[in-house]
Amino acid sequence: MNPFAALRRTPLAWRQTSHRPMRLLAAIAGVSFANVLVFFQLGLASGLYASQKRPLQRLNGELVMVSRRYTNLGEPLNLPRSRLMQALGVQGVEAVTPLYIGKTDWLNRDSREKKQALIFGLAPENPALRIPELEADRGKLLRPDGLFFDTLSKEAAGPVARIVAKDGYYDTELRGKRAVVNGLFTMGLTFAADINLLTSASNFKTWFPDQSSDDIQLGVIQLQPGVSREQVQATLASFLDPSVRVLTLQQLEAVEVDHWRNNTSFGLIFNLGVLVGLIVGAIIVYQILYSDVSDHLPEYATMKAMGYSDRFVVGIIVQESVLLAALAFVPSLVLAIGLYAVLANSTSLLIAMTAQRAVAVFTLTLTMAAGSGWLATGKLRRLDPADIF
Amino acid sequence: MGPLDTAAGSPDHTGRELRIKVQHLNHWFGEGDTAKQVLTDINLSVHAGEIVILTGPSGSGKTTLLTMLGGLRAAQSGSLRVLGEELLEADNTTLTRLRRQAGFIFQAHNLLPYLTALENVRFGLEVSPVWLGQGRLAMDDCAAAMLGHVGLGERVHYYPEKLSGGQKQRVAIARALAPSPRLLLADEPTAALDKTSGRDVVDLFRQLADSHGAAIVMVTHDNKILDIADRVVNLEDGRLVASA
Ligand SMILES: Nc1ncnc2c1ncn2[C@@H]1O[C@H](COP(=O)(O)OP(=O)(O)OP(=O)(O)O)[C@@H](O)[C@H]1O
Ligand SMILES: [Mg+2]
Repeated sequence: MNPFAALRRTPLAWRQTSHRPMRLLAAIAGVSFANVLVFFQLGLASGLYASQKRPLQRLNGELVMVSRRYTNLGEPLNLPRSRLMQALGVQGVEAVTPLYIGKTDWLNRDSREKKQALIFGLAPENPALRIPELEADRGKLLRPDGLFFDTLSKEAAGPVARIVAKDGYYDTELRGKRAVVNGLFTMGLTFAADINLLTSASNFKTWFPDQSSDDIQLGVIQLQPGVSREQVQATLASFLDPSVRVLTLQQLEAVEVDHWRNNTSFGLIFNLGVLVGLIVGAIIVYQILYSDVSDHLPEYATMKAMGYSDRFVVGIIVQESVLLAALAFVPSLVLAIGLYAVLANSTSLLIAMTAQRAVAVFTLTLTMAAGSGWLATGKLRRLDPADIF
Repeated sequence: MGPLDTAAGSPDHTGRELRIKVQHLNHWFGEGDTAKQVLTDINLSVHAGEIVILTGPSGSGKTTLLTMLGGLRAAQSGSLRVLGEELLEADNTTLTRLRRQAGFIFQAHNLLPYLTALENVRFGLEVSPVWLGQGRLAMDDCAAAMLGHVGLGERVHYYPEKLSGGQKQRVAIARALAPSPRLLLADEPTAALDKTSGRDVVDLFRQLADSHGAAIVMVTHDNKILDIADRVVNLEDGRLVASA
């Protein structure tokens, strides 16, 4: 048969779908809504996961050393500083510097409310995190009991940023010892805590006296220019004690996201949200096509009586479902991009449309629609043309 | 057309090709104790170029017999050969193949509401790969010409909802006639038509039989068109009785 014969056929699926424009519009609106739901869940999830990477993206080096059992930034595990120093002997390593990470309660001076703070201790001569506000005023970090406060911390921490901006300092208490916030920086929160704080390595040790002087929580390894990080990583892995491991920054970020996706209920909740969106879309498509089949049963029986095969008749409905999904995708993409802009503005989450996600949702919605289209043809497949006449 | 031409019925002693040969056909609706026999020992032959009119009271089994001749239901007992295919316990593929070769005009018109008159007729052509191969323009020409023959030349682009009952019936007739089927089965095709257009339609049937050698079986209660028939057979309570 001529391969272009299909093009000569009357496009039944399209003619039937477009015959009643208002109904078509309603159907498109319904399926678009379901798609937006899916986009919303995926966007929120990826935004939240991306936000978990924010402190890691400030790491001032190419490789990091963490405890073998490290899972995420919010659960700091000790490793010996001497292990990090061993890396200095490897060719291509320029310098190493420790990052101290601690979790502690923060007391809101006014409301007496307790909040979780994540506190990072930095070596002032070579800070493990890149913080521009610190570069500008490194001396402040050297002050005993001095702290920098993340302006993106939760409101419930108290009006710290406002007071520091006005008076230059904010007196408080940390782990039963006096503390003074005398600087501000902007980095962004993670799920691990409500507040981010920075301090010097020596201050950190006074607030965490139970830690030995050799304990660090994360080691940053800085390489000489042009050195392959994979090569250094492999060399380190070959001789280092198995209680620690060395990761690239990308690997560390992946570990972080994996933790929140797989070891917490976040992943499940978002997957359920996506599933609900898809099911809503599937039900709408099924409803529309099922009633289409039921309303036009005699016409479909006539097609069979004229000699059209079951496959042809079922194909019309499946084509209609795919058509609906394709038509509904365009407005839902536009709506989702708008929604992402609103979300990114009103929260501090990193939410943006990616081509990958658009393609994924398009594929999902097509598959879902084709599936429910096929389900809707049950009656059609059983239809015996003789029963109509 | 396809290889089916060679599989068509063979000529008998009259010299004309036998398109339908029904022997000892019985048909029941329902199963077991509740089975109800609607056709009993039917014997009927129809040749190419022949018009047979089937009459009989309501409920006598006319539509049932016609649907079996058109491959809409498989035969259960006896023998039913149509266009060279044995339809006794025939499978779906065989039935679909037969349906493609036969034109069927139903008691209800069943036009597709979302297609114009012309497109509905064209849809009847598209089931044939041969017509599909000739392209849309050729199919449109054929469809428009056939609509002209049934008196709807002015209304080719109307949707069914804008047509009267009789006009819709004529579109359905054009749809069945357009492919020039070798077998035409019509169930009260003139019921919704006035006297003149009813006459025009049966004249078209006659033309199809004479010029294309189509075999035609038509159910009708309309005495005014009996004269078109080569033969009238009468069905009573599921049995064929000699024509009046
Ligand atoms: N699908 C079916 N299931 C059960 N019984 C049926 C079915 N179709 C028809 N019948 C019965 O078979 C008998 C013959 O029906 P059929 O439709 O062939 O009659 P008909 O001669 O075409 O009548 P009419 O002139 O009213 O159209 C009727 O008694 C009818 O009730
Ligand atoms: Mg009938």
